[in-house]
Amino acid sequence: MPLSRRAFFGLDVSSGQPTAPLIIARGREALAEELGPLGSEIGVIEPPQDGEIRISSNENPLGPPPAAVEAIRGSFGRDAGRYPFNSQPNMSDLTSALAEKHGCEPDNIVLGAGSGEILKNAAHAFTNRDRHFVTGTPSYLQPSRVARYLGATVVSIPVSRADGKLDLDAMEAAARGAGLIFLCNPNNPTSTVHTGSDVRAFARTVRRNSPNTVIHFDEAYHEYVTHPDYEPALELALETPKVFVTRTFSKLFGMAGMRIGYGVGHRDTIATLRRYSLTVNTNVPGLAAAYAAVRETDFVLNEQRRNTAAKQFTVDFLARLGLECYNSQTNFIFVELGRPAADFRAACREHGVSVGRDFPPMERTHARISIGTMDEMKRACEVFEEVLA
Amino acid sequence: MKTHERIDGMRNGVSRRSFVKSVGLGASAAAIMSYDGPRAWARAMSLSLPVQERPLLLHNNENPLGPGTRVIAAMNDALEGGPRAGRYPGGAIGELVEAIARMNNVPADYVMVGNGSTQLLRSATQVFTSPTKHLVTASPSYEEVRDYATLNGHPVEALPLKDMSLDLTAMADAARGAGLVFVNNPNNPTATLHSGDSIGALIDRILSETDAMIMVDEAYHDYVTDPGHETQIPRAVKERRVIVARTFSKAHGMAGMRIGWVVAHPDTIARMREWHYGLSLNIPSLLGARTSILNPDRIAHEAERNTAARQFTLDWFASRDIATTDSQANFIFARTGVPAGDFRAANERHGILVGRDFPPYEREWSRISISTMDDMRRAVDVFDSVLPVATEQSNGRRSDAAAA
Repeated sequence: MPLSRRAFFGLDVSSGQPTAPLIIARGREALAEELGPLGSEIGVIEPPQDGEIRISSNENPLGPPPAAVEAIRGSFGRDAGRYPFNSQPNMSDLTSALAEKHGCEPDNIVLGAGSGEILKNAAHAFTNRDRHFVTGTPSYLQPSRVARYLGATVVSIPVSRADGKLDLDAMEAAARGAGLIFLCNPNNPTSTVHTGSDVRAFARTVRRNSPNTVIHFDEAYHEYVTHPDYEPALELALETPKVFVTRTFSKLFGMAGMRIGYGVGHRDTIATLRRYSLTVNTNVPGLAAAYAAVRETDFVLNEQRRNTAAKQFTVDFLARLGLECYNSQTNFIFVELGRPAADFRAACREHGVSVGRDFPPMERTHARISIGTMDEMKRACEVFEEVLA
Repeated sequence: MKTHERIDGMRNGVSRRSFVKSVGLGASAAAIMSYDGPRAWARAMSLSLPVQERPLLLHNNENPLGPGTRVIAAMNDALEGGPRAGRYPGGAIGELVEAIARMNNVPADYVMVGNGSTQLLRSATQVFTSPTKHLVTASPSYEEVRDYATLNGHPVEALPLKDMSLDLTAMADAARGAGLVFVNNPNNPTATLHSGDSIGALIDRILSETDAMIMVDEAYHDYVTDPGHETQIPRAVKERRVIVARTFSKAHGMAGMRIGWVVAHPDTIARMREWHYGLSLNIPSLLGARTSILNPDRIAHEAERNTAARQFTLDWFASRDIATTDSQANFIFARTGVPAGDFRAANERHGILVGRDFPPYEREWSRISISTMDDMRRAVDVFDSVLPVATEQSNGRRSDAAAA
């Protein structure tokens, strides 16, 4: 439904109120360009249309906790004109609240415009022409791009085809002399998780063999994990130099649109990351929302439960079609279709269902499907059955 | 590097402890507020801000009224019709870009948005300066580009001001071999403006004599009243080496919403995008900013409001024989004759926060942001009471009455 620029400008400009169709139309054309290389990272570029099932970007389909929405609304009138260090709550309030939540000091926390900003800053701070970058593939791509821009060698270790897990042994081996090693746990897009003991052993080995390498555990999907042997790397990060963890409000907390994430780690590592932070990286309503959400423990449990149920339904449905997924510990699944993701995506799109983008080197066989609401997944599964028949 | 040392010195000029001790009203609040800005919040990290205790904030050049009701309504709309806050910013970015382009009469592919103009300043600095291509800026001027070039280990030439204004000749001279020339017009913190002709001539010279990119930061554009002012946006459309930066943080009253934008040639934007982190913008801001830019009348009213309050404040200083620069912004730079630190501390005791040190002028000059007329009436009463006090302190004569 492309709208001409004339039509766009002709409508409702005087009121200045956006209308959904316009947002959608323009968005499709412009966002990929606006985001540059990141456009493809996001996949779908417009808000869901009426009736569209958007299960492509690993978003919480229900959005933020009500308390966070109220906090966002409340922030506009009083503080939208104030910088986030003058607002109430301000950046240090959120930092302190997170420190309290994680049992550490504010010095151990760095805020970001989403955790993505911190991923970027880590690559900026810790990699260069002489200090390479180690990651998995497929894994979250953005820090690789930053490292490459800076002239750093990017070593991408393929995940295990058998179980979709990162190859920790190979990553350890590649870490010698590296500036930064990026471990996305659970891993996007394969959805798999490593156990606490695996993570600790990994950090121990890297620290022993390459003590100057910074280890970054990205735990964007932490709150969705149900695996009994999973442990967050937070304690490890707090007690180990050169180890840090990133978390985000974009996933389970339903605030992808509010751009708030954070890093936790040893104060020296955090101090370095802070030097690379955007000068004023967080926004006032986002701070207010996150500040409210930090205390929402019931929300976390309920959303995790909701996601797990909708995910299980989807996994079971696909299993009945003879399709296997890796063991998902996130709000998305990575399913072996045995056919190109692009074909599947195009076919689903015809039926109003948006699924994830290509994830090379597995795009010929696997597709990523985010978990929406149970109703959305029921409808999506009907579409899957039809297009895969 | 010389520049860097100076910045560090400035940052370390005030200890948190001394602030907390010195402040009578909500100590932790004032301790946080008193830090002028972005780089300093981390130092007040362990302090929590009690709600309701807010001094008069004349230290960060914010619009005291914030965004208008339409903008707030648009931001609230971002939360309606489904859980949009849970979705990545997506199409709202393109929609804002279209609105900016339309209102400035430029093609949409000449516009790029960022997390405040600061993010765009950084992206330009990242891609256009290098260890062998230095940054040219002024001192004092907006520090973002200088700090960031320094962080990257890229050399900086920061030219001293001339008559409290940018020394355009010296900046053009320094542009040989430079990667980027940063021109803040009006200049923060001096509030001074160069005419469209002067900036145009500077651009001509740099384009003809060097390979450097030129970034004109017009953050305070909407507040300018000097008839000689011209935006350089048309130039940025014509010349692929000219970038104009703007922000929603000032007249649009959206500092907390973090949106800025540039106009530049698509090739220039493409280079900035190689580095730029595109996912830094939040949904309510994008919708609010769009509404704001489509309502220029409100910005005109805001400028009028500021002009009146600014003139009132400038007149007050003139009545006290205190020199000020010709302010073309929402702040003034006044030669109080006392160290900015003393002036700041004295005001703080009365619940007013004014600007930080701006070396090399910090011994006699202070930057004061313009708030509402009522606020400025209150402020000048306080200035009236503290200036003699500050003078006595700076003369080394302690006064018990002053401390009261």
